[in-house]
Amino acid sequence: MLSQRELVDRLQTRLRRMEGAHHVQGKRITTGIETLDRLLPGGGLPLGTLAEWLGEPGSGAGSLALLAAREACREGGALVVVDRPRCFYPPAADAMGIDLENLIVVRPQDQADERWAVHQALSCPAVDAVLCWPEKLDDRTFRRWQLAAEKGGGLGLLVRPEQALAGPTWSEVRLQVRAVPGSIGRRVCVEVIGCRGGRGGESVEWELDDATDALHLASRLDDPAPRRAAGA
Amino acid sequence: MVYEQYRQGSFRVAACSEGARRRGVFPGMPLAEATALTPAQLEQDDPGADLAALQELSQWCEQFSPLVGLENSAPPESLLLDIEGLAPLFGGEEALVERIARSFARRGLVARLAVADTVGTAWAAAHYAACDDGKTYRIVPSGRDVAALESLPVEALRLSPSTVRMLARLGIRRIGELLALPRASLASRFEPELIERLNQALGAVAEPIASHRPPPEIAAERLLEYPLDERGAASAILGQLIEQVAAALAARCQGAIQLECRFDCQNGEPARFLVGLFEASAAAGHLLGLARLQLEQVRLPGPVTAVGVSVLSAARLPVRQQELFADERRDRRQLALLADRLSNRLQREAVSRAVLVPDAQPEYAYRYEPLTGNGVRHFSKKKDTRRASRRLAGPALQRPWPRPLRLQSAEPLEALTAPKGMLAQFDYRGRRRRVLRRWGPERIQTGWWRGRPIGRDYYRIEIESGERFWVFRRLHDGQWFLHGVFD
Repeated sequence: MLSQRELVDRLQTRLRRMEGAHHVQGKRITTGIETLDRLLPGGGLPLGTLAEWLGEPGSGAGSLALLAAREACREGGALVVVDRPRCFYPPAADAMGIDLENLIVVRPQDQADERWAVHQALSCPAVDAVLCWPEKLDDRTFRRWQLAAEKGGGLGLLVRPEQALAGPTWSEVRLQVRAVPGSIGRRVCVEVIGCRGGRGGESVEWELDDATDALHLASRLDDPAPRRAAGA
Repeated sequence: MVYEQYRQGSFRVAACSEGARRRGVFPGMPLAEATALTPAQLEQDDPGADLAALQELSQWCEQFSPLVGLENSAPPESLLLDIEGLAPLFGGEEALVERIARSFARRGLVARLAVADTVGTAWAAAHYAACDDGKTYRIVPSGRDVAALESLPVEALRLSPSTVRMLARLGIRRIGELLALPRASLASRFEPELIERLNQALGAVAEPIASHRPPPEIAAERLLEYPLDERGAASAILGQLIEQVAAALAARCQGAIQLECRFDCQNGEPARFLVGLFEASAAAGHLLGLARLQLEQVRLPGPVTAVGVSVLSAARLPVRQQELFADERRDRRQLALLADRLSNRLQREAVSRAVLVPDAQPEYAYRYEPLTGNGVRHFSKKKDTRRASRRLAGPALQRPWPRPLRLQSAEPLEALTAPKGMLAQFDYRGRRRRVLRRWGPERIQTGWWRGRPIGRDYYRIEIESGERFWVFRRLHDGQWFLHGVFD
């Protein structure tokens, strides 16, 4: 005969196990921003999942996603950039420390080819990170990409416009990047919109130093009341 | 027409046409002198193309003789034809040689021909002997080699320049004088090459002609009795042909890099497509998978009457050893398969790697090279040593100003400018943006050799909401353009 206390404990453990069943175990990749890592469960972006970077063009979302890709490929794996808008500029990526020897740039003609190419790249175990700029992503494609990332074991980085916040998501981590005007250096505010198994609504402000590619912590803005409670 | 090459530290003339020669240009002359003598058209010397053309000629000459080879020198310049026993077929040696001379003339080539018993004598006669009047060839009657050689200079023996110089210092200029000297003393004073060339010319030592034949192309074809309408059946036949080709490749220890698949149709042109690979492969399953990816998108104009598969370029199969830690090898294999799959469904140029080009104009500072269809390429698993070395290189002074992550084609801006011509507001994606701050200018003036010089003042600007863009002002008319986004 269990006491009430023990019963509650047991139920809580079972709940946690059920929720945690979707938790991805395994290696975590740092986003390149220490304090941001601390906001994420496990201390970084988990491998085998998708991560979204949402922001207006010019806000810095792409650069931060590329930094995360650089960290993911540290072991020497390949980075695949699927560049349908044909805007990717390799000299800038090289300046940020991406190894062009291990970079494959794919330029599909239309959205169908882009969907297929990203799916193939994510499924390949030798690819450590896939970076793309998808325009309209429907639920089905998103889910297929998430399954492909699980199978391939790499990190899928999707850079999307802010309007995509309203749509469905199968990514593990959603980050919104906003530019902060008027600072000495280039300041961005990164907010964790949602992430499975963690708390959302917190943000950090970081300064991106163009000269040395270093990221300085500008200040930390803690949201005292989390806007959303993110769950599994 | 003058061909130039870079030799001995300066540009010199490698070869020149008759017109240039008449004005005093000769091979070895410095280029500056040559251009002063005659306003000729300059071309870069291309020994590879010369060799390829010579090989093609040697194959064309097979209509005269079954054994045609290139001479054994670097670079080869002469063709050797074995015409033993062929004279009766052409109505005599003279008739054969005249026919060869006429064929060359019809091709627009000037050829010096000679017939002799040995390769050495024929070479000497072709290069140095005087012709009988009216003819463009020389025939050395059988058995009269020595008589023909005696009057020719020693260079005709294909000796090295140092040997020729030494002989000249000793006062020996004709082969006849050389032949008069006792062999033993020649052998002790000169290099063995001298004796060897003498023996070759006189026929004491055999000199075989090595014919150049490219290895036969690997191809498989199936002609169908009844035209085939079904795509599935055509695909199955393609599978069988690819298996045959893969078996032939594996027997040679080679793998295909480029395959051409052809479907002849009853009405219309044959449908063709190329299958390109990142790494040479002889695996029938993999090749078939890639071919099927492309076959899905090819339109067959009518019922299929024949199917053909041929290997356009092949390379040695990479040898894979069984390693204890085979992860890296497996990963590279996986990457090669991914590159193959992507390149065959999208276009070959759509899957590429980026190479930086040291060009000041931003849009030309890089280029994309396709991954597949051009031989062996490996992905290296280098650790992060490059960035460390860049840190040591020093501060931003050594690097150009920051570049945007997204570069688009330059879009003219309808701008409202403040005085002094600076950008104050512009329209982007339907909204008016106000400029808060700017960094610059970075002046880029380059490209005069492309015929379209550019002069631009680049600025990094930050608009009121914080986003950053890369704009430039064209120097000659002050028009503003948006070139990139610092995403």
